[in-house]
Amino acid sequence: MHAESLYPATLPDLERVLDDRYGTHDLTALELDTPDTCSQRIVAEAQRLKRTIINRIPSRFIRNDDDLSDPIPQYQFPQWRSLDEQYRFYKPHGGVMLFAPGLWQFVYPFHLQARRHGLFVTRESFTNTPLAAEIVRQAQPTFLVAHIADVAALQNELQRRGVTDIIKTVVAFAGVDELPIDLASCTVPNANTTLEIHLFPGHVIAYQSFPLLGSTDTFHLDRRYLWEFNEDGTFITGVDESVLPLCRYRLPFSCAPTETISQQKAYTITPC
Amino acid sequence: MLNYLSKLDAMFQYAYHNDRASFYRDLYGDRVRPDFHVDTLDAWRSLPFVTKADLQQVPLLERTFTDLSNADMIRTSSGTSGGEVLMTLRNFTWRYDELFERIQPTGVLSLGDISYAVENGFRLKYPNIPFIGGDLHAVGAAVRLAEGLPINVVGCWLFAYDMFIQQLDRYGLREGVAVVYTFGERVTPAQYVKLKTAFPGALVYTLYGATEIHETRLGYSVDEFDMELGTIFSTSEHLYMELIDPDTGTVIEETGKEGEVVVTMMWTENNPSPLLRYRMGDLAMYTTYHEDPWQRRYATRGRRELDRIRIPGGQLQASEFERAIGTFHDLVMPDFELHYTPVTDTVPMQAELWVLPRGPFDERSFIDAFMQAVRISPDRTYADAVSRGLVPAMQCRSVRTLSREGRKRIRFIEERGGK
Repeated sequence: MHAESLYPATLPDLERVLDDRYGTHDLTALELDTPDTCSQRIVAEAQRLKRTIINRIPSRFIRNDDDLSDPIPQYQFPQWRSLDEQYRFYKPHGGVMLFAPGLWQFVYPFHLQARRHGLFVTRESFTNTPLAAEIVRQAQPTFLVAHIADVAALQNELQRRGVTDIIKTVVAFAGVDELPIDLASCTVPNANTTLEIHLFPGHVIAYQSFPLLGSTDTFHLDRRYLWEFNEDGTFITGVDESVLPLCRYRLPFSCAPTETISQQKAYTITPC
Repeated sequence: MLNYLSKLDAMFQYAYHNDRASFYRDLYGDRVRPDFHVDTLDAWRSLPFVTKADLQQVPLLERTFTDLSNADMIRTSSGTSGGEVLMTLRNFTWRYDELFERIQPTGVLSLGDISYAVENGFRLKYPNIPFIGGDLHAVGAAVRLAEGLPINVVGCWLFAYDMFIQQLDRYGLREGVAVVYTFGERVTPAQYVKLKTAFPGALVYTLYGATEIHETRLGYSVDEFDMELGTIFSTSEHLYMELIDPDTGTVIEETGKEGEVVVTMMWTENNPSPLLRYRMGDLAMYTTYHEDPWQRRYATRGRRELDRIRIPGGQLQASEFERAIGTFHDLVMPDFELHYTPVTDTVPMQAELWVLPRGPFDERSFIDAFMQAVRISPDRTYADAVSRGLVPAMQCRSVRTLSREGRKRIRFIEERGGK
């Protein structure tokens, strides 16, 4: 593999892992993955592992236009590890709210993660913001997970109804093609807003820890992917069986290392 | 008999004596003694009913049987149309075996809010079978996700099935459907025929339930459909169901008599907020009455306030309009729309019927014939009742000013002061 830099710099048994998953450890011999080839690779991997396709997700954060995205098959649900880390750090009590379209197929992994932490979920009527605000008032969820475009709509309704100081933490996510993020548009007063970047809905590739709060361009990169940074761009390859078998999937942004925080490297992400 | 009475008594004791469910003690007040026991059916029937208005006036945490940490989900019941929001506690239990075990599911496509709860239970029960969920505002996009998957079960709110079928056709999924389930409203005979036509050979199930009473549906369709009565349901073992006269509260214990549904959700570890003697607002009728409450079968008849307009001496039911229109199949299509205007002190009962003529159409003749055909009770037509002075006459006239897709609009207005 030829790259100016890699993250993580070293991975145990990397060549064996690449050989097992992609049939070669020289990934440059393979075509760059696109959503379409990625789908074929997922189906092939499912057959190899004798797993069935249990659902599909859109490749982009579309709302209702079925022609604007490619369905990405899933034989396992994404493990929302960043959300798990946020729950461990912020220790929310009571309810957590998912404010997102059902089309993105978040529901089950979100609920599973909540139950692991003894939390109940409030998720209903995504299209009815006044009702969602009323749910916040009555059920008092302290933790909100929403797309960057939807936080403001909910916050405006909460403000209009005088519902304040209930939500303490916001996880606002964006797609890889939705950068840069306007932080002001996805904050709730007196709440911490932490950002995530998803490759496809539910598949987190970059996230923030507490020390990165307030930054819109600095993230930790998911170590389950092998990241390549060179003059041709930024590419990721899935090297852990818990993430998608993406082979050198090109990302529309560049990454530059900044600092190490809590033993995790942080990178500045700049859209191309 | 003793078995379920003891279960009902256990629920009552918890509801009355535990502060977590203090709503009940407040509701019962002086009408129930602290040492009250449900040892007979009469004792049970002496307990006051619970209504939605009662629930809307108390915080959720004053009417639960468990700690919030034992619940999976809070969801809303009422409120989507701007009314008072009612919150309910849920756990993701799977209670749809009757639905899915008849035909082994190979893939499920389910749209609508209820799908999220169905999905969670389904995933636990069938972790290796595809399930695509989605919202009604993105039907095409959700169906596209299912394209090529072995979908043989589809579910959707009844009112959205036309849109759903279009998209299933677009992505080649309709042919493989073996089970169709609907929720949200009563399936009328015309709607049943439409679904059976769209999905030939498929089992059509109606899930009858209510969002305010936990995830469990009230009953499950037993794949029987009576073209007069509608879907026939068997009672669920997770609830104790009663039918009452909506005016007097008297319990009905016979077949063929319409009454309001009253349910008591059994208290199980998976039901964090059971309800005692909750008036559903739905009308139903036993098709089979049995002393054992779990061997009864019944048909739903519509909403008390929406699908039945009570007029002095009788009632006009949406389902009766459908039956009557079915007798004019040579004149009008079976599809129709019926819109009621709520009656107030100043506004009389008004209804608008939209019909689609098959050809040349004499409106006056149709109206006269229709009023001869429509019944206000099983053995009396409206025209007969008016001629005998039993019900007030209504103006029945066509409205020519509006026409949608060739539909004719007929307005019925009760004549105030007339006999």
